Amino acid sequence: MGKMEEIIKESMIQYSGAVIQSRALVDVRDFMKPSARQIFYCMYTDKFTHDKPFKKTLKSIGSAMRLYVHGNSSAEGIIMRSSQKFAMRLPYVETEGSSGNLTSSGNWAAPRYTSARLSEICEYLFKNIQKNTISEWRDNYDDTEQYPMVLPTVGIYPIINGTSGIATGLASSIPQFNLIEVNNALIKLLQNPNILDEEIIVKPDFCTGGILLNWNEVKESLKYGTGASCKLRSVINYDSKENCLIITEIPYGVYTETICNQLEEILNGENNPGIDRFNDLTGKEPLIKIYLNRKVDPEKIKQFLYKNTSLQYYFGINMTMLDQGRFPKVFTWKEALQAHIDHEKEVYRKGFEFDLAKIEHRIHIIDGLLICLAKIDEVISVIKNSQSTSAASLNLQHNFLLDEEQAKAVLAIKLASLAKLEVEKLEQEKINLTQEANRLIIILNNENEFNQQLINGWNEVSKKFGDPRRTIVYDNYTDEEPPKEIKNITIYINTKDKYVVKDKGKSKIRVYKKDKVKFVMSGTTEEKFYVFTNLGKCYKAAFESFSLEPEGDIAAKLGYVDNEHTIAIYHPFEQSKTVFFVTKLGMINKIDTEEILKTKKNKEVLTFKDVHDEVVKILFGNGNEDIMIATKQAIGVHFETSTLRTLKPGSKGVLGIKIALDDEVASATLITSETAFIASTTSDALVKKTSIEEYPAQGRGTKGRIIHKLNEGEQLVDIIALAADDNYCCSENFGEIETENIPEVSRNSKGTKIF
Amino acid sequence: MAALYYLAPQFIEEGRLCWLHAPLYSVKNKQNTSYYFTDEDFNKIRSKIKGEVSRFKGIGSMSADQMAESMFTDEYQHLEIIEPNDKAFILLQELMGPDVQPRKDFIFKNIDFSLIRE
Repeated sequence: MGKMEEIIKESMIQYSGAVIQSRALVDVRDFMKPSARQIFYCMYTDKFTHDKPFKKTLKSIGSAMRLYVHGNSSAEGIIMRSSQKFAMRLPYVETEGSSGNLTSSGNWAAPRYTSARLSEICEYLFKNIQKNTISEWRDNYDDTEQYPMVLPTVGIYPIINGTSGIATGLASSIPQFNLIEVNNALIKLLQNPNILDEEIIVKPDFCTGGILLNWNEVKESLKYGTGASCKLRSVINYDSKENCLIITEIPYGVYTETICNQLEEILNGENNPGIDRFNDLTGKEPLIKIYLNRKVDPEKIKQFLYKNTSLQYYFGINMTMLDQGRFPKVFTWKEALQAHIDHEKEVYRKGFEFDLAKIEHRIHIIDGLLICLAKIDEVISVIKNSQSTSAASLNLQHNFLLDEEQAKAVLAIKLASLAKLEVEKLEQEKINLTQEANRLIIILNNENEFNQQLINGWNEVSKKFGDPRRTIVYDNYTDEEPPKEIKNITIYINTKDKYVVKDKGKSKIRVYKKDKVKFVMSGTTEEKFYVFTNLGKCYKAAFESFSLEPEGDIAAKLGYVDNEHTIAIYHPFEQSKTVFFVTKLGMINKIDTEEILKTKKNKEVLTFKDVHDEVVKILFGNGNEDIMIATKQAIGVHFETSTLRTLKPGSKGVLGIKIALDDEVASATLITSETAFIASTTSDALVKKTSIEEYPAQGRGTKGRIIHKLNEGEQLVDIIALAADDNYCCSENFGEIETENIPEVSRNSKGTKIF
Repeated sequence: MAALYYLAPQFIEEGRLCWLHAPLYSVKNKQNTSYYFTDEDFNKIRSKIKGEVSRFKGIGSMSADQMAESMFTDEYQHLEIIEPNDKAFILLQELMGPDVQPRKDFIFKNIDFSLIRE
């Protein structure tokens, strides 16, 4: 290996090893990063604790420098952050003075202004540390003192405070949890090590509250130690009085500054959905007010904000932690809890063993004292006859079968202890200590008793520090569109292609007076309808979009080109199978309805043979009717359409009627078996009806025959097929007239004026 | 080295990159001051030390005089030319590049986690 390679390799090993083991990752047992552990240990040993008065934060930082090597400002960061109620589920540090708020990160006052000390929970982090409960200690940077590799953390698993850290090649991110819930899970796991994961996995509970949307996914992530992230949302309420959205809880890890910057961008951008202004009123608690424009739907804005700002945020799950303070590993939830339980068990065991050894030692001393006090006169003579204190000790050991420590204790007896009462006191003490020793021996030898100690510890901490959960959890929340109000509306379109929308329930509307209503279309705001034009185009239109704009111009609404106007409208509930397009020059296209509705927006559904041609009539049928096409000069042809081939959209069609040079098609109508009459009307509004029997079917594309006798300059305008039981004849050109009022005359006769 | 490699690779390719060793320990007594560049050297004399020992964490913990004395005098100067090496460049790319996986593989293959580094 070349020198360069060696240097790179060695440096990388040193560097990433240090970052992984001594910086970014927490130890699975006490859930502390080395830096926090060092700093808290310094504060603890220097007695910056909750039972002492507050001292300047600078003193804590200075204290931390005994062990901590990364500089005062990062120590300051750790101390201040550990005190923030919105950063820690259970703060380790208490501060006096400004420790910052949720507006931006690290905005606490300088450490010379604030005071800090460890909070009460730290008593449990360090409980019994002086009882030799921690076996592994490390030297500090100048070998002048030692610090523990792990904290006892009795009665609490600090996983509740969560962590996130980036090492080299590895990273970790663990959400926060509720103390009571975690402690209960620890108890369950202790009682039954084979318990199912589902029974001990705890829902995340962030100090900033908020809403967790995807518990089902998060549960899996925790079960395996890695997977989908927590999807977090702010709590947003709508205040109708002020017409504003009020944000009271934000996702963990987000500062309101970030949100405000995003809102600012939305306000200044082109896609502002209707935000008027906003105000960040965050102080003790987060509070942002977003004022809305009058017209917008607050629910829609809410969804927009969730989608486009940090009001919805993700918190990753990656439970990489250090095993035995050394080995990086992805822990499953159960493994992590078990590792902590094993650690606590060791701490408890060592603590009890320490206590027991101490008691036994004291009993041993008391034994020696009692022996000597019983024979105190002999003892005194032995001492009196000794040359020196050390000789006295030896003589005592020899004469009374004591060991050195006992002899030392005897030599230290005060004369006052010779009183009878004092002897009784010693005897009582021995009885008490023996009882205590027996209790400890039982605990150490009986697993149930021993486990009960752990459970008591967890229950004690839960009772003292537990609080209700703050984060609301949904199993699997998906956005439902806010329920729309479905309205029944009717659209009236007049001959000038202007429309009005009538809301069912609304009383009167202004109907166009001058221009006759040409089309009427009813439907709900959920439905769509189709509009056909003279250029053979088909437009899809939504009732909803018309209901939002209750008056207007169809051409503008659908985007007509010049000389384009509406010929027909169609609602799918009519369930027509076939559409017949009849053009000005007598062509007919029979096209499948479904095919038409499938065609692309604004696309012509048929092609004109002649550039001057256009659609004059569109009929919706079943494909087996007969059709009658009539021209302006009142020439009509009646033929069967079943003989026509159904064409594809875009085709040119076939000739329906052979028309004279100066003539053009005026109208057409479908004839069914029920058809009894053909009614016709002219430009002079002369109306007549003629029995269908006078119009026997002819060949398609023939010249046809006269169907209405016209006056000079008069033109045929429209024809319509009537069934025998039709009471009304209703169309734009006929108006609304009773069928029986239409005179029945022969084919080649004039009409009569009814109005 | 990575920065040099990305910004001025020619510098390394021409063999102009050198490693000037800095001392880890100094032992100062009345007569003189001696410097030790590795833990091994220092541990050899550790038991017989007379005088004041300093541990240098970096060149920031040395005074200018100490630095001049330990790094730039004939007695102590320890200058090594770092020969360029293709394998080393590949390694450098792997370890400092945007992909996490090769770095992760390297870490788990080469680091003995039973020793604690800090």
